Amino acid sequence: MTMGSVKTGLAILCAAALMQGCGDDSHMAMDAGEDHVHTDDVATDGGADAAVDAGSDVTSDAASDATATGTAVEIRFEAAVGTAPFSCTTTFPQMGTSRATWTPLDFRFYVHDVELVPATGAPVPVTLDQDGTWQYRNVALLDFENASGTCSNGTTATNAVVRGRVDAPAGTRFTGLRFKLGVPQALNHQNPAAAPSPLNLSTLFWAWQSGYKFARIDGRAGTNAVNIHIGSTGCSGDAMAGTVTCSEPNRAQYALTGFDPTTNVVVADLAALLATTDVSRDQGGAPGCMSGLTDPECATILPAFGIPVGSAPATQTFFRVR
Amino acid sequence: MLRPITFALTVAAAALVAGCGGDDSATVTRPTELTAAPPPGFPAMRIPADNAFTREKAELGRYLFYDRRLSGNETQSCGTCHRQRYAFTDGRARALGSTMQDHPRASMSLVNVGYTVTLTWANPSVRQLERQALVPMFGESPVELGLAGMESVMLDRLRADARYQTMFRAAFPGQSEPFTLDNVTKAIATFERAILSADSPYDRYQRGDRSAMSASAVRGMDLYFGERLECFHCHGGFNLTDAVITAATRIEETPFHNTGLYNLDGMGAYPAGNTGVHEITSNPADMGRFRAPTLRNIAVTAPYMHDGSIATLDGVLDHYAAGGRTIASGPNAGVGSASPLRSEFVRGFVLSPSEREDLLAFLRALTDQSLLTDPRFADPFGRE
Repeated sequence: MTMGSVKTGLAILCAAALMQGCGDDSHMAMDAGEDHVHTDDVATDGGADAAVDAGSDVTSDAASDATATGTAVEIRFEAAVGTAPFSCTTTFPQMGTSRATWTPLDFRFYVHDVELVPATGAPVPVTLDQDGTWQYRNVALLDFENASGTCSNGTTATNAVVRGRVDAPAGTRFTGLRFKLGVPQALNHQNPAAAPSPLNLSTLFWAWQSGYKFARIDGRAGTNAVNIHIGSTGCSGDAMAGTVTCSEPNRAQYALTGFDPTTNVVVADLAALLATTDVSRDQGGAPGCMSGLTDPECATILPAFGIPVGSAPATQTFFRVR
Repeated sequence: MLRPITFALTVAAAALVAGCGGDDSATVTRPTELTAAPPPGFPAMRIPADNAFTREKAELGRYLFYDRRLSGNETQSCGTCHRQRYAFTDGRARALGSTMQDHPRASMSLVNVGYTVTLTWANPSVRQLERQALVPMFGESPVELGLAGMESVMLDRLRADARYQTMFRAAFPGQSEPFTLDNVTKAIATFERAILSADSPYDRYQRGDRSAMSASAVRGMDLYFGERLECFHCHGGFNLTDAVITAATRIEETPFHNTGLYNLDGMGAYPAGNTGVHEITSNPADMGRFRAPTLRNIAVTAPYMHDGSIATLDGVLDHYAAGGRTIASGPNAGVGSASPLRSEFVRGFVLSPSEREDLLAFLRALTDQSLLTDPRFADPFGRE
């Protein structure tokens, strides 16, 4: 009734606002979770749309309930470089605008607020298994480096699957997937020195912004280091008092269509992510893109994640369905 | 009126010679162990509820602070860049990390750092020492201690040391596994809260010892606290900075200022990679805004400014007297005094040669010599 229309209205407003690239707190209602405006205009052969979550507290009680019941689901991810599977023991040619050869160093990212979209009806949240390692509350770490080869600063353990349960009848046919990049606001600014796994990995700490690296995808093209560290920026406030707010939350929100968890996987494609970036030379700012709004490399990398820079709308190219 | 006061001072001086102290006199008994209790004239310190001050924790923190096993390649400790003899700075223009990577900024003094509202030079969100410690430990741009991905290695190094087996259990009693990153940062923060300095000639003068400062320094003090120079607007209060927090603070202020040190483009730009709060917020109005550091012990913390770009206190006075520095040529050329982002308190002033000497005498009177040698703060490994 009123509630539904309010949410839909806000969602449409937000979608419109998003196209203009605004990313402040007026987007709080993006989390309403009932709108289909992003998916309806996208082809069903694995199209994707991205929006940016403004970083509101989206940690629902349901999503953090370790004793949840329901139908078990697995959301499988895959790291790729174009058509090749990602690996730490090989290099990848023809990357970016300068067609450079990429030496991989790292490939990890957090996701949260995972939802499956049934053929009919509203999206249903995936309540994550509280496995004590890869998943905590509503956030999961996907880790595609295994510390071998050139990924020497990584971890041997890997994870490519989000596991959880949905409150939907067994046999429900799902046709879409929604999730957000990174660590939710409610967990992002807690004390990482005392955080549970997977929020206790120091390579994913981002202490200078009092938060975490949502994505860490590092590599080299020749001698040029390209460190892709996505996280919330413009943060101020008192982390221990829980009052940190960030002007750029950078939590891209994805809506993938044509996704059935029993047959499809989500492909995170590094070649697509870097397609419009010159990886062979750094044009300024941090080496690569550390989420700086004025960093030349971020001007192409952030939008590829679905994070707008300035007024230009962003269409994510990183994730696709296979 | 004058006579009784003089008499009291005489008594105090006598007490000083005898090595005992009284609360209301100019003499102060220095603590013999690490403590976060406020020195005379200081307000109570705000200490996080989950990290109460204990002597055992502070002493453990001292060892960890100076322990090179807290860097990835075991070449540096916190104390490498925060050296006691330089009032916990390093004497360099800009710090050098454990992997020889240059840091864009100068190491800041840790004196009275428990009273500092925002930590590091220009970060509005790093507010607790426990959290700040994670920046040098795990930061990668630039690398400082170079521990990213090595927290387990670091904890294993500590666990293997019999002394730490005793010290961690004493500092964190009742914990089955006290060797945690959380405890490491809590202990270091506790030690840092104990690095208290309140015994400079200026402090003793404030407490009533009129002989503590020279006549020149007293004249310099009057200049410092006067409206002509405006020094005290940003470097005032008990810690000679405006960026303080105490146990009584209810409304937190997080001041940052652009002093007109650079003006690359006529719009107030600072050199890329060192733009102050702007680096965090990307807000153009935050360009060149840095925290005003305490001026305590300022005479021993050269070179100056966030990037060590001024070698001497005399040079710093030139910068402020000009109302902002002018750089005639080179990549950083520009007229700082014309910066539209410059603080309203940096307006320039004229100092006579004798006034300049007086002001410098006052700044030198801010040095607490006992801080520089107090064995409570010293490197227990005897290296720094």
